Amino acid sequence: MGEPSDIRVSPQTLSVLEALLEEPAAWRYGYDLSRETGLKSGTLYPVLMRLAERRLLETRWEATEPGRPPRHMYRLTTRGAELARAKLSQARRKRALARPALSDSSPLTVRLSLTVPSASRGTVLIPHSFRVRLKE
Amino acid sequence: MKTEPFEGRRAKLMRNRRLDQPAWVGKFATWLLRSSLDLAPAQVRPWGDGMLAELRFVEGSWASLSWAVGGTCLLLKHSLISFFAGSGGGSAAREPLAGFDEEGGMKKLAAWVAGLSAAMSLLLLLSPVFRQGLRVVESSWRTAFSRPLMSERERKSLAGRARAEHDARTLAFLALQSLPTEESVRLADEAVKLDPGLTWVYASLEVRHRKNPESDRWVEQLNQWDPDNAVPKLVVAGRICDETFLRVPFGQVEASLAANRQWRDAMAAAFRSPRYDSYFGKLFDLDRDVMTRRGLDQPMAVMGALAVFGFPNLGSLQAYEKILLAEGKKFESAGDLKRASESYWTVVRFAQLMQLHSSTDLERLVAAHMLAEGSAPLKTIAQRQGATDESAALAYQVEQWSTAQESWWDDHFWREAYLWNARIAGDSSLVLVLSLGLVLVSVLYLGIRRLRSLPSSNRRLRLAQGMAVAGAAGLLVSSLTLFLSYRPFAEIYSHFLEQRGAHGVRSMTPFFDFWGPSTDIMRFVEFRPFAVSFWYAFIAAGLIALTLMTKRLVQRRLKPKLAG
Repeated sequence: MGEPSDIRVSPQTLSVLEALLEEPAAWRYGYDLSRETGLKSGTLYPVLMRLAERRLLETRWEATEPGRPPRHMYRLTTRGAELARAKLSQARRKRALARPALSDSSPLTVRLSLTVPSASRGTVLIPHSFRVRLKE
Repeated sequence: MKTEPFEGRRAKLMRNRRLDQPAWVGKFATWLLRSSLDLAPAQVRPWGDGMLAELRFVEGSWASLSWAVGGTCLLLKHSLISFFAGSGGGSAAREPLAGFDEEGGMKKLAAWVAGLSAAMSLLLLLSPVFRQGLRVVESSWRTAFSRPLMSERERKSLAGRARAEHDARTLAFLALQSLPTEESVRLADEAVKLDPGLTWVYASLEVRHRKNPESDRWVEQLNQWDPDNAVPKLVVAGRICDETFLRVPFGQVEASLAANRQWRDAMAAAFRSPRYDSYFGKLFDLDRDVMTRRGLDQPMAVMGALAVFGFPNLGSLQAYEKILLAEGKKFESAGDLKRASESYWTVVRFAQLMQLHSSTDLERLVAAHMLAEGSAPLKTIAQRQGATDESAALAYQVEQWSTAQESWWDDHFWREAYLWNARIAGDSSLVLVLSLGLVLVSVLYLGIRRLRSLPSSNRRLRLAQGMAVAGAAGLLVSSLTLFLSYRPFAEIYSHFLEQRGAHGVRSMTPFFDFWGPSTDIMRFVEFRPFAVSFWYAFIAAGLIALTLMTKRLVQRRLKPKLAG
């Protein structure tokens, strides 16, 4: 196993790290993470398992009332939080470099076709284009 | 119009949404995840427990199912990795948990997969189509080794019952199965004695047991019983034609036949006959009657009878047609149009008779060809004589040949498809037998090991488990393949039994063609095209190589983790 900083993270892992980093000290449930990241259980849990294997994530069972199964909770370890911060800032830098054309001042032409109902011919297409400036 | 308040509509929407999400979906989701947890290796079970606990909080039944399916896929993936790699399957392998029982997990998975596959294959046995498919393929193997379709015990028992009940039709049915000549002759004689209306059975016997000393008696009896029918005469002519084919070089057959007075007389008598009945209709009725009455589910008997019931003798018919047409042409050249027309009309009349009363597609095709060949010169003569109506009618008969050919080629296309289907059914049955053998051997080994509490190497145990799983999976796949590939034949057979026509019965003969009625192994190889065998072998070798590569890859990838 390599150093945590050497780990290549997938976009899915990145979104999980981002979600966990929002409140690093808080314990999070699997379903909450799934809703926040939009990942299905089949994608989310392998990510969590890999993070736990590399000791970037710690797990614990929440005590519940008798007869109810305990819930599994997760949060980043100190090393995990460090790595998450590093990877997230690295990803943001990469994203910025990959889209120079879409910077604050770049104009972008958007072409739209509007469909409007017409009494005589059903619907008609009206081509329309305009220029916008992107804001982050 | 009264409008519904917004809150009311929202409540209604929510109520409908709840109705769309039945409770059983949620229960099924829980059951699915819990069941897959039982198979999961111990290392990933905490994660599975976590997913199961979360299931209570997932909103909506379908969302729960989606959550459970995702979890199940993940757990099954780890179960498979654990099974093939013989390790804990990854993530937590470095931290073995208390109570982890790898062998137990594997055994459970092997038993689960093998049991489920075997159970599903057994369930298929409930389907009559599947049972019939198995019986047909088994019968095709019997015929490949020149064994009768029915065992001697079955035959004797059925014949005994038929004799006791004076059931001539069952005796005739048995006589037409692939039996030793003496037995066939005895049964046929008994049947005809009980019911002279079954004398037509001799026509089939004559074709199948040609060198039998009883042949002349059969033909004589047949001619006495059915004097107006062309077919008994064609049987005599067909025998002479076959002997000539064996005796003289191929190019001289027609000349030799033309010089043979006995053959010419037989053919002339056949072409003059007022009736044409190839007895196929009677044969189909007999098969239907006996099979339904006696509860015999043996489609191969019908196919077998059809395959060997070789009427009409095409060589003989074609040779006589050519002779008549050549004679007509000779008269036409000599300016004797009357005698020329007589020769042509002899061919046309017989072809029309045959076309009207034929029961098989092959007879119809031969008749259409003869009709066109005879009508073409007659049309020219009619045109020359200014008989416009007659010429138009003859032109129509000539055109019928192209229609008949198109229909034949359409059928031929389907026969090719059926041939492949029969091959697949045959091969899947072979795989089924091999898979069953694998399962039995491995289960026997595991059972003995367990009963005697024998120590066994992990490797041997794994091999036995692997064999059980592979065998059970093979059993399931081959059973399903057999069921699906045999299904069209079952439809044809049921169509035939329900008296909705014998069309398509010939499509079932590939089961005979494919295996070949011979014990000669070279003949078997000849029947199976080399290309097919090659690709089968190629696919099998590829699958084995792929499995080995996957296993090695999984092991290699997991090795560092296990070492850690």
